[in-house]
Parts: sequence; C-alpha cells; structure tokens
Amino acid sequence: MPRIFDNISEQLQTALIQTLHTTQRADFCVGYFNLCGWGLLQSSIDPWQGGVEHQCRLLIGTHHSPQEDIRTLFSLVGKLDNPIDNQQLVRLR
Amino acid sequence: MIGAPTNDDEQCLRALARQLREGKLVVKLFLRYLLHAKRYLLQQPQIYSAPIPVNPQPSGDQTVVNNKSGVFSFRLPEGWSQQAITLPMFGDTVAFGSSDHAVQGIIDVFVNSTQAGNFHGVGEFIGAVDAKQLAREPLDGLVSPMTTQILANIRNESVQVIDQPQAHTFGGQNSGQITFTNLGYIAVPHSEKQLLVGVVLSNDTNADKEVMAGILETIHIPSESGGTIPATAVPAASQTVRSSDQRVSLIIPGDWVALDHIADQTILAHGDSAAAQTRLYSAKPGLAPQTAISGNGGLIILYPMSQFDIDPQNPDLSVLMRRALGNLQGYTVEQTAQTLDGKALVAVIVGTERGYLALLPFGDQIVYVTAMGTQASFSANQAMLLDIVKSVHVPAVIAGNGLGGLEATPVATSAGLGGL
Repeated sequence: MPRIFDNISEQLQTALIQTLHTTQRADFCVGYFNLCGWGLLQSSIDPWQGGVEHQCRLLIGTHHSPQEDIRTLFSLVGKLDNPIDNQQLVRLR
Repeated sequence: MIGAPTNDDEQCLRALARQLREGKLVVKLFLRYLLHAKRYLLQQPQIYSAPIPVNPQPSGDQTVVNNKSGVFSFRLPEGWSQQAITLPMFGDTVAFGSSDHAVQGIIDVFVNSTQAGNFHGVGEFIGAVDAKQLAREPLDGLVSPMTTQILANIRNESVQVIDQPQAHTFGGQNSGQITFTNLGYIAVPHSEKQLLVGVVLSNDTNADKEVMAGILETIHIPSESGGTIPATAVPAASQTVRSSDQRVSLIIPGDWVALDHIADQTILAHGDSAAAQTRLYSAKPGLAPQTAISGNGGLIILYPMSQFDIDPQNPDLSVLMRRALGNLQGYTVEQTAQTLDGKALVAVIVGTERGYLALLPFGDQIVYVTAMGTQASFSANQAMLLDIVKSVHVPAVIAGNGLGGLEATPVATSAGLGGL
C-alpha cells in the first residue's frame, strides 16, 4: 500500500530513518543537497560498513553554477528555475 | 549552507567528509539538465513478498481442513461449508464458501462451467494440480502459465485483472503468485513437489478482499500437522516472575526457572532448568558455573538510559541496537532489528544458540532481553520466545516499591552476548 507523507502527521524523515535502520544500501536522487538535511540522516548511514554493496549513493540534480548565482544576484528580474519540460525531454532522448 | 556556520554544521561537514572517505556515501552531480527529482530507494536484504493487504489469521474460530492425501490444508472459517469436488487436471480439490449457496456457485462455475458472478457471499476452491499433468520442470516455471490458464477458464467476459499477477509468499512459507481480479483472487502457491490452485470469488470483492486474502494465507503445502492452530500465546501453565526488588517482571512457562540477580547485578536469567544457568554464565561468568549453552532461555539486563545519552521522552534505540549487535561475539544477525510494539526493537541472531535479542524502553530504563533456543529448537519455539520478550515489564507488573536502584550498572563482558 502506498504511504503518503505530508510532513504533518506522516513525516518522511521518520519513515526514512526507520527504513535506513533495516537496510545497508540506499540510492537517493534529490534536487538540492543541503548539509542540514544530510545531518538528519547522517547517523543512520554511519553504522553501514561502506563499499559497493553497503553505501548510500546520492545523485544531485539541481546545480547552480557560480556564474548563474552571480547572474541571478545582479539580475533585475528574479530568474526562475527552468525545470525540464516534455519537449526538452523528447529532444534529449 | 545558509547563515553563519555553527558547531553542529562543522560536525556535520566533518562527518560528511569522513563518510565520503569511508565509502559510505558516494555523491554524483547530474549536470546535463536540471533534474529536480526526489527519490529515496532503499534496498533491504530480505526478499519481501508483494504488499497485498492480508489478514493472516482471520478472527473467529477456524477449522483446519486437511485434504484426504495430506497434500495441502487450509483453515475454514466457522460456519462455512465445504464439499469435495472433481475437476479435470486436478487431484484432490475442495470447494467451500460462506454458505451452501456460495459453494454451489463455485461448483457451477468450475464444474458445470456456467457463468461466474451469480452467487452471493465468498466461495473458493483449492485444488492440487494432478502431478501427471505437470511437465518435468521446476514448479515455479509453471506458476505464471497456470494463472493465465485459470483466467481464461473463468467463463465470464467481465473478468478484469485489477492487480497484475505478482509473486507472493503464502502464509510466509509457500511461494507462488497471486492475481486480484474484479471477481476475486487467483492464487497459485507451490511447494517443491506440489502446485496448487486457489480461486476465491465474491460478489463484493472490495468488501471481502481481506477475508479472501486471509483464507489464501492459511494454505499450507503439505498439510498442517495435527490440525491445530499453532500456539501464539505462552502455554497456559505459565508463571509471572518478578525480581526480588520488583523492578522487572516477565512471564515464562511454568516449568522454567529464573535466576534473579536484578537487585545487585541488574541481570536475570531465565530458561528451562539448566538453560538459565548457561545463559547467566554467558553474560556474567562470575554468577554461574561454566556450562555450554543448551535448551531454551535468555537474559534480562537493565540499563539506565542516561548511560547512553538516550532521551527518555523520545527513546531512539536503533543506535544502541547496532551497538548490541556489534558487541556480539560468535553470533551473526539473521534478521536485522525490527520494531516491536512501537519503540522496542527486536533482532534475530544466530550462533551456538538462535533467537531474539530485543531492546525495550521503559521510562528511563532500557531492558536488554534475549530469548533463545538452540539452532534446532528455535523455529518450534519461536512464538513462545517472542511472547516472553513481549511479557517483560519494568517495573514489575504488580507495583512494588521499585524506585530503581543506584547501584553500578554491569559492564560489557567479553563472553557471549556482550551486553551493550
């Protein structure tokens, strides 16, 4: 059965940590990576032994280059994130 | 990082660097385009069967029905009817249902080949596929074709598959496949030698889904021995044991003994006679003569939470459990820690003995509990041992003047379990 996490009554963090304790291997894909977010999960990964079958693989998808940051900082209109749309998806395939 | 860095941030960053060096974390940056996905994929070592909502032991009295040849058994809910039927391709086959009418409905569909869906209630047939019909190949290869064939044989144009066939372990022991349709479940469980088909139909599949799945879970290949429902409770002749200072109590079988050293050493050993002594020796060699592990038994050790900086308001025992499992000498973890009744954790370990190791939080105390059998005896006594773990209570169930003690807590020993 699917569980829906609304972070009000059902917290993703709690469930994630609980599940991390029963496993030795995880693949996470996230947009942004923030240290304080990692801080919440860190201790649950620590007991793992490390190495190919016993590690957490993290794929970070949303990267801001320093140039972009500068551009945004000095731009007059706030630059919106440009998420991928269907058209672009077809082109990339 | 946002804002001024704090000490915690530094700790976190250092830990991150260390985890990267230790290979516990591998980070890759995806630069081809913006990818704002959130996916948390965790891989567990055990193979879990498909998450079909089931009620493994439907409530109410049930009769264990063994078929004539002992090939399979299932549990018939009280008040249901059953009838042996003959079907081409099948050996022993039983039709049953919530009423005689439902049984007749099943017979109509599968024996008389009339239209399905004209009956009320829940009806089912379970049949053992005739061995002569089976090609000489491993049975798991026949499961999918069998499901397809059964689907085709239900003579009703309105049959629709709702949940596609998926692997399922019936009753936690027989693997196979289960399919959910708008008319009911089609189950194809098998053992090494026997392929079974179970078809359960209902005129209201949504309302009866759990009942139907529950019955399928009771299928056993071969028959359940003795025709009794396995005991899930401590046998009637059980005793409640309280430590002399009333700090802890537990329920053990009547013929077991408890060696109580809670008051001075915060440890209690329980077991069938000699077994208690052997467990006590394994943790506190000073308290018992040297003996090799035997029989069924275990230990209870109390620790104050303050010793491990655990917050009594919100005890997270997982780190401690890792430590307890890490301290084991000569044991391996057979089943990683699972939660038990909320905050407690229980793992299954195996070494010279095999059984449960649990950490239970009570107020500001942590109770380290083991309940073990020997390698051979564990599976037979599993339910009883788990009940012992669950029966542990701090303070003792009948309140004494247990204010807790201030005596020194035991140190981890080098022998056996090693404690915390």
